[in-house]
Amino acid sequence: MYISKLVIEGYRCFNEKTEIPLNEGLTVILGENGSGKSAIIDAIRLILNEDEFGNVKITEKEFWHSIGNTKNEIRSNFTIDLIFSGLNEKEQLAYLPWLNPNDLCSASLHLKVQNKTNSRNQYKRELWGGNSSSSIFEWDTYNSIQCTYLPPLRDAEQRLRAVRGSRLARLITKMESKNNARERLEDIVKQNNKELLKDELIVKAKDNIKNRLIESLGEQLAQDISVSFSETRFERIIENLKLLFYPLLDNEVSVEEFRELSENSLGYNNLIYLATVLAELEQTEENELSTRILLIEEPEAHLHPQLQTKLLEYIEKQARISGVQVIVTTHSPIIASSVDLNNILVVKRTDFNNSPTIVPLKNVGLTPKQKFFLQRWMDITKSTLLFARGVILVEGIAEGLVIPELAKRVLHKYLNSKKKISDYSLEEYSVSVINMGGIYFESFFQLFMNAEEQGKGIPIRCAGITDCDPKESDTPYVGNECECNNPALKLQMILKDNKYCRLYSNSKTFEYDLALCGNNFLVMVDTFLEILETDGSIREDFEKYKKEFIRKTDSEKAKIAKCLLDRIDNPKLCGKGLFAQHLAYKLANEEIEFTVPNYIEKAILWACNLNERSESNVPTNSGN
Amino acid sequence: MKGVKVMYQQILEIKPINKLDLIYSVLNNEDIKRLSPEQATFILHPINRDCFLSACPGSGKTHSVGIKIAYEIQNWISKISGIAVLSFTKNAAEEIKNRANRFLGNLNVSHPHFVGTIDSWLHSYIFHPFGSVVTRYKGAEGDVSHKLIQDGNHGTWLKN
Repeated sequence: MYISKLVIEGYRCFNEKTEIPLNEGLTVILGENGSGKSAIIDAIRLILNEDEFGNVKITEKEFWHSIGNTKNEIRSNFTIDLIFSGLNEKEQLAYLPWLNPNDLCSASLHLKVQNKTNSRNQYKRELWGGNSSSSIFEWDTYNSIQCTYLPPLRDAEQRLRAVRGSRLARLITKMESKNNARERLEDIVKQNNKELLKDELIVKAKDNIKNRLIESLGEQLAQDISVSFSETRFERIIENLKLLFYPLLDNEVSVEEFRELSENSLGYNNLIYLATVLAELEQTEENELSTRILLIEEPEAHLHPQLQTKLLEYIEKQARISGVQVIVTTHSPIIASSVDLNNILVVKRTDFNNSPTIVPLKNVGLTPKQKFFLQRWMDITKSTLLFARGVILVEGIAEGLVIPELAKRVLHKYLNSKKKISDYSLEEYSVSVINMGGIYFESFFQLFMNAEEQGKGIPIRCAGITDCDPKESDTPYVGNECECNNPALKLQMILKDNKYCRLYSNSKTFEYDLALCGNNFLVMVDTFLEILETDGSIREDFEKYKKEFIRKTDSEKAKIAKCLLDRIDNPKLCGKGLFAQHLAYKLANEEIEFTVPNYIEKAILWACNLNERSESNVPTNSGN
Repeated sequence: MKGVKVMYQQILEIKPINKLDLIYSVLNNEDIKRLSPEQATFILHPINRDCFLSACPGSGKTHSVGIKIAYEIQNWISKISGIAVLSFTKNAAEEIKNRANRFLGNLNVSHPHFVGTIDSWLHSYIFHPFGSVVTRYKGAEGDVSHKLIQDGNHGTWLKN
């Protein structure tokens, strides 16, 4: 049995009823800060009465209330529903009143909280299973669902410390019910206590005190005293146990060599903490009912990248083997890229007064091949693709290096402000430039293109920038367009009116089109000559082109631009990547004038959600 | 079922005095020793076989049922299925529960077992969770509980 769906209405940022599908094993919830990830986790904790949370009072802030709206609306109640699936025969029996009459393998649990307090200042809660609130509610059945939560800012040292209710104590208590170790442990401590009391020093100390008492009070009034090392109750014994660590696995090391956890690194302490919790979850396996849910917020906390990947792989494996349902929230691209895309839920908040949009990546319609490709690509690049508010897809490293610089100029011009060019950046708009290393637009667009239908795509704008790629010898210019050979361009028509995906293209190739725009040719020739190591005919030719370029006709300019492109593309002379590095460095200098080709400008503004004005008010700059 | 038959045969063959010892070993209460041989036979009757207990008023039927429940609960292993003890009145259910508790020491008659009236059992486990399948009642706000007095709608099932 596992939670297959969570339905939230009116709780925190979830104003409208929102369905959140969850996987049987691992679900990874991705989203930027404030997108509602924690609200999802807290909703599950609240309805399942998770230990550290269940008894916490509900406050008024838990009810959805409007933001920036003068009406100041506030919900009069909120509901949280859990739908369980995959009930086996035993579970159908145990959760009988919770069952869905039309599908006995599924059950439900509901929580409704009214925004009205009673005389003790508590909000009225109703909790029921199944479709009818009047059927019996058995608390033992309810409590058999185990929900464990690991908070995002874990103080592992504190949690593992020898105190009441420490993780270690909880683990041992759970194991005890099977092992009957209670008496055995108590006996050992009692025995040790006795041995200690026989020691000369302690006997002497005790007698000293006792004699003083008798002296001062006299035999009739004095009390008897004794000394004890520690309490002999099982609960007290295990509370006094603490974990120690040794940096290496070595069975020969004696206990004295082990160190206190306070000497350990934060990351490793967190792993020890997680290991204790996972061991505790495993202990329940032999119980007859074992629905276990583990909620982890930001498992990446305090861990370096390789450990993050390793940890998540382990959790995924554990979830599969021991049947624990694990729900993880994360900001880490490393974790996002190391799990199966089918396990990922993307949470996006588009409007502050509406519920966040939940997009399970298994529903966006990726073909197996597209999924495989994206998975491999994510694994290699550890990309921020799934965390962005806007995406610009490019084909190669050259575009990837230059476009962020061009974007600063585009934003500077568009926003018409007196600030410096370097004050603008794509980061401000949370837009990522994604280098696909090829023309795989279809796979990437698939993530976004169906977003108009709730949950079928990530509702952010994704602009692709591609080359027209005519025949190699072609030299197109305005008024002399050439036939395109790029198979990706058929997408341009398909996506023409798509709300979330657009594909922008040029007349030939990135560098070629840059060169034909405004006076860019001069800047680019300078860049090229800086890289060029020889002083021969190539250098002379380009010095000449530089002087004559402005006076040339469009068709001649096109030929010269082609000449430059060929030289840049020649890996022996320069190479596109190296050229792009140098060009980007030049563009960082605000005094150098550079015109951004129209297709790139459009793509950038569209991805930043600024397009509406640009198409009508801002004059275009393409060509001459 | 073959195993059960053999066991049943074995119980019939136990001498009356040994039957009391067997029950006493489980419940550890001096009252056990005062049970009649018939009562002991009833208590040891296998729980998965039907049994009809008939006797005159005041002969100790409720007493026997109380001990029987305590005996079965003490031996109970499953945490998901339990014994349903159904009566016709709340008072009778309460009485049986109290008596069983008296013999159970620090255990209590509680989940997964049920002691109550036949009506409340039907309401809790059958009618409310699944009644809507038969009555086709759509419910309000996702709740299909049948209530006698409902706003504007008295439930078509009432007319039948």
